[in-house]
Amino acid sequence: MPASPVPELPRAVGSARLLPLAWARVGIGALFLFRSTALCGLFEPALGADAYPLLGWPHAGSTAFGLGLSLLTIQALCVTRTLALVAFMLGIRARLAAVAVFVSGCLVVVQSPFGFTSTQSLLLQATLLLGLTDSSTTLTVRPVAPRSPTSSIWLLRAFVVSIYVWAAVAKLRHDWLDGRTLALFHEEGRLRGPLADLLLGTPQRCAIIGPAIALAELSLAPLLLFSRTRVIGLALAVAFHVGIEWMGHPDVIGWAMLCLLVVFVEGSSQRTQVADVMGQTTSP
Amino acid sequence: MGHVVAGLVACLLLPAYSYARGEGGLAWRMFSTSDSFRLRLLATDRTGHVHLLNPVELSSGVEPALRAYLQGAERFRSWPVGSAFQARLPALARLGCATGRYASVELTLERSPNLDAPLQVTRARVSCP
Repeated sequence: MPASPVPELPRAVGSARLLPLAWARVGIGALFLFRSTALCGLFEPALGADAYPLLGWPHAGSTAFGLGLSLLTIQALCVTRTLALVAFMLGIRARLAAVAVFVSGCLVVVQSPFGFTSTQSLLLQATLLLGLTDSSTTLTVRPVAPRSPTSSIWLLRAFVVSIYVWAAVAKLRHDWLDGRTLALFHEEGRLRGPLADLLLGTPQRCAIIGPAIALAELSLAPLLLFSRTRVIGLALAVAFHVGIEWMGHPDVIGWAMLCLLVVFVEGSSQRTQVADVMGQTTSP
Repeated sequence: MGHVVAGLVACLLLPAYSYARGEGGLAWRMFSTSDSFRLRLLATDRTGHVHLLNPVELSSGVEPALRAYLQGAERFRSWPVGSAFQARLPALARLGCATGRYASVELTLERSPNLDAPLQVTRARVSCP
């Protein structure tokens, strides 16, 4: 007689609810690994120029403006970050791995202050936060029991929303709202291509798009936070990142945000599936 | 409780601190700043003659990102690294000593945090060994 699945249900349901967090962990881990190793150079030579053999790898004879760590120490930190990222992505002691990624990654970044980017900051912070949450309860080679699923999910959601709010706050200045900053980016070729030409081709269009972007980023906070408007928020956020990626290729920050937006996907549909698989029914 | 503290730090304190300091590196200001900078490098040789050098001459043996920012830095470039240059101006000026037999090197940073702000001028002058 087969064993009853009932005792396993709560944990399975909990894991199903946390599946979006696990997807975000795998996505951020994979993206960070891609960006911080020579893999990046294979697909995007210009982007990966600073990641050979690893991101932040120091070279003999180079002048450093950071903490003054020795070459060997920085090289060891780069290797530690990479190995810990593999463990984090696979969910092997993900919490410890995330802390190792964050500490070693921060030390490497501080050593190379001119190489500091928002993308690196986002990848490091997202890794740490995902590691501190219940993101390794599923999609992992070593699942752990969930500790606090609700606060785990809302921590990551708050982090994503805060990024949009702070990004909008940074744009609430005259030279952004009147479109001159966007016109400058277009003129310098930092925003380019047919879509950029269409949206930013004249000062008048820049003056419309500038406030529109700031307003869109501000509105993403309530749209994503409230369940009734979440689908609209997700659609707007995805369109926003795809558009920027198309026009500007700003490192991998758009891809990182897309990975993190997964945490807004409800795990409830998986809950029903798990219950169905285990012969249970759930109330609507 | 741990998640609340982590959230407060990541979502509020770190960005607010960065924003208040003015550099904004941790305040998610990517692709929004119009911060621009220009460098002027002057070297005085042992006979007292002043030479105007291209800032790219400082890029020998520096990190790749800095090398990229030094290229074309003799004219205004709109990259948000003005504060990074400002904090390390004397150390950068010292690199100029290695570019020739100079008695002193002066590096001037002209920086504007946005398109409306007045230029901020910072100078670093170092004596060469």
